[in-house]
Amino acid sequence: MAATDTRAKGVVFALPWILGLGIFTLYPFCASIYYSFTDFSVLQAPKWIGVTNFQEIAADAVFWKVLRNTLLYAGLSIPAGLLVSLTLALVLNGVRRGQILYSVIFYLPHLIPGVASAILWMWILNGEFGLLNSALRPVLELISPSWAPPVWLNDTRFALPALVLMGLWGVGQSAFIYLATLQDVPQEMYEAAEIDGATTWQKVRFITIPMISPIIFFNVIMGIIGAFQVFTEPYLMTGGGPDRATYFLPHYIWDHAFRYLRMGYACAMSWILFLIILLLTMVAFRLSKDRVYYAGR
Amino acid sequence: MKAPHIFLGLLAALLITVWILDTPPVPLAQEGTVTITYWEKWTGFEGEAMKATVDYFNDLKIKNKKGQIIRCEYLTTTNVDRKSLLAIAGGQPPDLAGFWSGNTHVFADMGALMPLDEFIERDHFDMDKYIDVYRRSCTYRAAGDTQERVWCLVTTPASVALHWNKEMFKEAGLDPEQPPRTIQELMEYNRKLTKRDDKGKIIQMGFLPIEPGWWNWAWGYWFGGQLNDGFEKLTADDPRNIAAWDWVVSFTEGYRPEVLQAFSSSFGSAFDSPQNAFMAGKVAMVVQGVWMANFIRFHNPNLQWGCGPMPAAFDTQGQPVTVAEMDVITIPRGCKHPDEAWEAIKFINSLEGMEYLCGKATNRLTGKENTGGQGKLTPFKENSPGWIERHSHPYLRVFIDLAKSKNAHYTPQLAVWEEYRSELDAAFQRAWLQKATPAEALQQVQERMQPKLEQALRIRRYREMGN
Amino acid sequence: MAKEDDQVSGYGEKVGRHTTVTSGALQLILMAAASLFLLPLVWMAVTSLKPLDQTMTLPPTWIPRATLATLEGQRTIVVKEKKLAEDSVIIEQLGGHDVGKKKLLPAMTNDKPAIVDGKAVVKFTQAGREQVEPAPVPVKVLKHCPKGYWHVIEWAPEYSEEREKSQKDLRWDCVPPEDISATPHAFWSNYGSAVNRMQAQDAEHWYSSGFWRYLLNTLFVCLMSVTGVVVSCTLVAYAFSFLDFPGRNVLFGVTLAVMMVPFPATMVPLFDVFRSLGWTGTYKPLWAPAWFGGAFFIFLLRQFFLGLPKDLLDAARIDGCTELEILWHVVVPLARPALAMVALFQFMGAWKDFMGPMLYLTNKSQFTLSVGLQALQSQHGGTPWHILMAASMMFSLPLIVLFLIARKTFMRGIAMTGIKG
Repeated sequence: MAATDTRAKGVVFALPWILGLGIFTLYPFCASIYYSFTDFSVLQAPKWIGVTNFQEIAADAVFWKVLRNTLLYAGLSIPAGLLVSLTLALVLNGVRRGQILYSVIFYLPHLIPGVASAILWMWILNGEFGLLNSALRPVLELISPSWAPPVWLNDTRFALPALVLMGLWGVGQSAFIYLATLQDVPQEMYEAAEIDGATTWQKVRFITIPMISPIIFFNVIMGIIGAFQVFTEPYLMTGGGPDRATYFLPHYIWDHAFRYLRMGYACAMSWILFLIILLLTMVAFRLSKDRVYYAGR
Repeated sequence: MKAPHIFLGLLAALLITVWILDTPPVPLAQEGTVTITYWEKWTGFEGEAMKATVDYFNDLKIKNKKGQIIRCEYLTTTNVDRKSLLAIAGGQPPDLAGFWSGNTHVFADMGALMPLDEFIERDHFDMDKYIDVYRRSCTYRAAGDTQERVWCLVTTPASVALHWNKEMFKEAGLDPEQPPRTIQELMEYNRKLTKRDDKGKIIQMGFLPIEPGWWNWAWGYWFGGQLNDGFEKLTADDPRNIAAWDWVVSFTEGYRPEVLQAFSSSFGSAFDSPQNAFMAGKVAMVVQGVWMANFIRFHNPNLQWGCGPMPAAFDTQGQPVTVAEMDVITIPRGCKHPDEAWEAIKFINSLEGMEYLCGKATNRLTGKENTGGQGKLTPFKENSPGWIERHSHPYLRVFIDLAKSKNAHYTPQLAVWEEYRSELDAAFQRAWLQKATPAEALQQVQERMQPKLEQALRIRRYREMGN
Repeated sequence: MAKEDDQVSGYGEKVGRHTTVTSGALQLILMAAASLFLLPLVWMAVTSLKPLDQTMTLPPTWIPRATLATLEGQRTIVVKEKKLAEDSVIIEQLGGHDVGKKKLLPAMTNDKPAIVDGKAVVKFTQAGREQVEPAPVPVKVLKHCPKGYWHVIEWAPEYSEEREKSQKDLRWDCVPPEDISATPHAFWSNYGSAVNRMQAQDAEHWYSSGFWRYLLNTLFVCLMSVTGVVVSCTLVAYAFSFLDFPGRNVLFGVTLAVMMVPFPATMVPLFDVFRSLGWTGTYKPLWAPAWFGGAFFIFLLRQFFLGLPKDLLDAARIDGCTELEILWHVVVPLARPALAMVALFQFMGAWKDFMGPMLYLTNKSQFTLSVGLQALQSQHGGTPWHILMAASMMFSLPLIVLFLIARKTFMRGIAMTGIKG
């Protein structure tokens, strides 16, 4: 009796989401699959053209360049973000004094509008007078007088790493989520480990990390999704340049959808991007099977 | 144990109440008035000048055929063009929409706009009063149509000219009243005006083609080149375009790329700031539009500057080269009040409305003067006597003459124009950063975009067949 | 029970000599990291207090300064207009169009003295155009100003009514360079300017349009969507975590997947949905979907719920509690920190959302703060940096305060759950 009862209740509890998913997400989701097989200019009704869009994508040299940029950005920013946010949270959890203050400071970047932070970072990364280079220049000159710091956003080689660096400024949110979880790790476990003579590193490695693994997993997935959808910063700060070094797939999709009015082509590319993210997430799920520990199970 | 139920009940009550109360705002439906909506993408001084002009229109209390007074509700915010796009697609367009001239022909192709010809004929609206380049920019033969039609009228006419800093000219021993007349002279002036410090770092330059870099795709015009030949053929790799880019890229010769990059990053990143290269006296000559005077007045009112045509590399026979860009006002198809919308367009594009929008003018109802409008030229061949003299722009005639020139270019009405321009900009960066020669870069654009254009035209024909 | 115990670090270490060293090192690392995170924000705050000519200066300056000069015997905040390039005189006009007006003239024009027999050629402005008086007009010399003096004008806040009115009547003078000094000064009026800039000129009441109206609208949308998201996501995440129902795993997979679709691909059909529901022009597209759950939050809460001890739930079930009661009495108290976090994130998301209000609201009086902020800056032109930064500060401040409050609830939540002890 209990089983059927729970089942019915499960559906009732999940009902808002079943409805919401259907109306606000799945319909748009399916419509865009359909669009990807059409010529659709937003203003005219979509017209079926089969796989023409996908054929065009395969031969589109800019698409491949943009995809490579996107993969590079994700490859750099996901691990870097994970490392920095986890380290910050672990360090933060190790101190008692000023914990609230610090966690607020790390979270602050999320509280200012995107326009303002784009302006701030353009100023920090300015090649000539920017804050970053003002700090780097003396150090580099110490090593060799002929060395000069890069001009970041104006240099094809350094623009993408500069955006990754800027992305690290926003790790506050995931660090914050980690911290919330870290505080739930039962103290007795540490005390028990201490009796066994564990070092701090061992405690982190064998107690903390396993205990918060569901949230690490959560943050990795969100990191993958976020990195592949990076849009606002390059759009506002570099416009994709110089020489398309920071032109990422979401930006390319955006341009086709709303500037070139080629929504069908944009949707086709969106679905390729979707499949890439999906694939990576599934890999993450597979890898997490044995490594994520759920206390409830 | 009833707590969760009470809580959920209260929430449901809240939800239902708010749901019912959250309705669209009803415009003040006064007896005998009809309200039209106008969405405009310009904020800043253009947006404010248009607001004042719409207010003027409302003051006039013009009536429609049914005798109702037309009231125009003006909404301006950034990105409103995206909003208009979705609203037109969704069948809920505003009655008037401001667009860039670069996409109106595409919108017309897609049947998203109402042609204005019927209104023009009915009201005997004079199209010949427009300067040629602006009139041609408004007319276009849309896909599947047999004739050219007018799809939009003008809101922010502009042309571009060479601006120079007189103080820097004086300092370099040049005549501050005499700008370069040929490309060779420009190069020579640049040599005289460029300064470096003892470490070889550039402190100021005479001319830096990438400042502000908004018309990098257009350099070919000054060498007699064209970007297209009709609607079906792109000519990015025209030898004259290549020659133009070769000339532009020659400014990087003798510098390591880092030196120029460091120099250009010293301007800061914003056009609209006191650190702007021209206004801060870092670059002595720039190509800029008629709006520049507004920014100079705001950021560096003491700057001594002049402006005249940017010299061309071919014999122009007294017809200087310029890019005559503008923004436009349109009536989206499917709007509720096209007739009333036309009345508003007609006022804005009357001499009275346009002069009020573009410069110093008087409201004939209240007798009050406006604050100077958007500080631009009008798109008309003739202005009211004394209007130019009262205008805040000290060199307005330069821009009017440029717009009237036979070598004034307007946005090519190509099906793939936006993408073509992005490609040209990207190719220009490649050439400027010396990652490709101009010839290679332009060839790549040609090879990429010509098939895209052909495909767009093919799909268009395919659609027409289907209908 | 977790004690509010300052002696124990997060890793259960008792403070001894060894750990003092470690925690000192940790403090240092944190301080370094914190200053890196803070620096841009400090600059933003500093910029919001600067006068226009000090914004975006390269190299950057960190202290807003006011320029002071003596005007009519008073030390006044001024704007340096220009350095005189030639010897000049300040005159008062006794005839012509601008009788009684104070003007600055070069002492010599074309090697001839500008003032002959107490008369000088002066310019005047009529209908926005500078013109020259047809004949020399009588003038009175007020002051001789040698080359190198500074022409200074009294400073007035931007975008204020006073400034619009008094632009022409601002006091000015020419002073020797040694009279000019700079002093640190915070230009708080930038904040007033930002509010004025957003205010519609034709607004009937302070609340009918502009900054304060935007603020109210934003709060409404935020509160409705936060309530909706917290309630719906708790229910749904509970179902995903503890209730087995047919298709649960598939549904969860789809929930994850929908986060992966790039947003431009769904913008058009989504607009279509809201239009067919008749929601355009209302706030519903901004808050109503929140009542149907959100993928990110469902996922987040599920991860938290799965970490809760299952025995507690089972115990409640044996006691005969319904699922709703278990949720209310067991799960919600335990998951309070996570719920606070969801509320916080949703609030911030709704507060900062620009695209939604821009696309779906059709009347200026409905706009939210983010649209108002965005409208402050435009393609080219619009608003100077100091005003934009002041507006950004005002935009962020409520979020910072809220974050501080939520952070407290959050800590208390942990202390109350009893998980730790």
